[in-house]
Amino acid sequence: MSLLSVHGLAAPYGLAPGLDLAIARGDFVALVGPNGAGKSTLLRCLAGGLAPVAGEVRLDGAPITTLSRRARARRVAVVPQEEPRLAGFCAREVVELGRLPHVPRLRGLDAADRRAVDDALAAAGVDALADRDAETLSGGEYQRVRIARALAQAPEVMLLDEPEAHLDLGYRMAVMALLARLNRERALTVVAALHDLDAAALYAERIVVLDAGRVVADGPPVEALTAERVEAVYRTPVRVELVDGRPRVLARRAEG
Amino acid sequence: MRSRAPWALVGGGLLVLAVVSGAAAGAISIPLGEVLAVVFGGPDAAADPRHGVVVWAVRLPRIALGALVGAGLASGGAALQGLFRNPLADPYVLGIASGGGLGAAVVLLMAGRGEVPPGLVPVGAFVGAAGAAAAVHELARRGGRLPLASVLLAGVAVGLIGSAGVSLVLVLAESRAGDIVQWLLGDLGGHGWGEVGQVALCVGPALVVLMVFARDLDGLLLGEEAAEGLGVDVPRVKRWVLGAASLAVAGAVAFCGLIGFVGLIVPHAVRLVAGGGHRWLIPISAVGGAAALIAADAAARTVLPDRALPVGVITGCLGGPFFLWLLRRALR
Repeated sequence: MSLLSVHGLAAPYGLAPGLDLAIARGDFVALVGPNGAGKSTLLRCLAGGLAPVAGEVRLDGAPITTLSRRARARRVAVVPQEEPRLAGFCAREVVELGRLPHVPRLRGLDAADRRAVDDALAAAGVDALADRDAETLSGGEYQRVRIARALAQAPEVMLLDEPEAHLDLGYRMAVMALLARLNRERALTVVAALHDLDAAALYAERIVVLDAGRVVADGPPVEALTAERVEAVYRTPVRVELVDGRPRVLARRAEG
Repeated sequence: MRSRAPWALVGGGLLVLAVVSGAAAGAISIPLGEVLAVVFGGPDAAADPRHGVVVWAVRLPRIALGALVGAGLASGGAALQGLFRNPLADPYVLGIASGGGLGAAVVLLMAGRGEVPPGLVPVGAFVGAAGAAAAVHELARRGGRLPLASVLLAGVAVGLIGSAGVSLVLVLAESRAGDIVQWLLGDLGGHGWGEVGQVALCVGPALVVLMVFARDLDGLLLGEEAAEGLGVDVPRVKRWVLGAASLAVAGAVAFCGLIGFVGLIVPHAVRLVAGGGHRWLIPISAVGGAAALIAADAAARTVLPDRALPVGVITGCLGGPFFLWLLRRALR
């Protein structure tokens, strides 16, 4: 049975009615598609944060709406596209927020919570930054701190909305490699909306192409990212080359 | 790891210092030994009975009121800054104090010349403050966001409506106009232990509620969607925190009028030394706000040789420039 599945979904803000998608435990799925294709909306539905107007999202077969917010947050972690830097928080304190769904009200973090935080900091490779003020971290460092916060939730699924956006090439690849390692070593199911098709093709095992709120392709990178499909979806001429068995999308010059 | 316990102690030490010096300072100076004797032993413990009465019936209620009002404004300000994710949020900037002032003024107007039944002024202030808080939040909200400019503009608009209402009450309540003007200036003086009790019944429960939701406020700093993703029940947290902050502000405004910027300066200072986590920020701000307002009031009573200034003048003179500095930083 799939871990997270979508049945006949329709949602406000551009998801066409009747969307079906099944994500298995241990999948590393990239959602790609042009601006407005419905990537963020689908992620928000998967997270249970946006109520669909039709259809439903199931977690382990049960409708996600039957879970309490806290129970949901212990199983599904979300890394939204943008968030403000927290003033007066060091990196460790940002990661500690990931324990919110586990810690009862009025109680401090206990030893198990602290272990989870230390473990998340180390797994995301930011343990050396733990005591740095969050406002002094670079964009790439902070992105990994946010992934560490999601890890501290000890989730089964991590949903990320363009985790590579606004990062330079080095940090972009570092974030993708981190997600791939977490997926491989911890059997963490990862669903990431990505703009960078090369990053998606290099690291994801499965690519779901969305266009105008519909799934137009779903499969391994080499099947999902063909030149014809990318041209049709993004409406610009491209060439696709295979490098080490993975497709690389090269844009071609177009007339303006 | 950040060590906050020392800062809590520093805040507590400042508070004790402020209480003692506040009780000693004033038109007649009273020796420290006598002040301490009255604080711990009651009005009859002073060597000079007149000193006993001055400290017990005039200065200590004033100090207790200053502590409660300062604690309410500072902890309310800290919570509002978190809830609105806005460094410029403060009970006055957001118009919540004006709303509370209007509520209290309406109660005074309806009471006419007669004595106001105890508890009614804080209730009126709470209704006004909570209404203003809810209005600003709804007016400023754009989807799940609270843009800086729309929060400030909504606060200005609601604040102006509140002050216009107070002006109307002033015109209508000729017999009490003097009282209302004195109260509007923001003053801690002229109150007894009865008023102290009423303010305590507002600020105490408000602080408890804010502490209960402190961790949720941390999550909310990330934005509403991210907070939902962490399991925070955002609408519920907002209702309780706005309600509690309004109650704290109502307690402050009910008898002491408009004392600006304590809720802005104190949380910012605390955030610098104790960090942004609300489980520490709210209680340390409360202690710091109490110390700051007592000290400001002591300054207000002694800065001019022949008369006492309303404490709101002191906090406004210090807070206005600080607000402008924060605004410049926020817009950069």
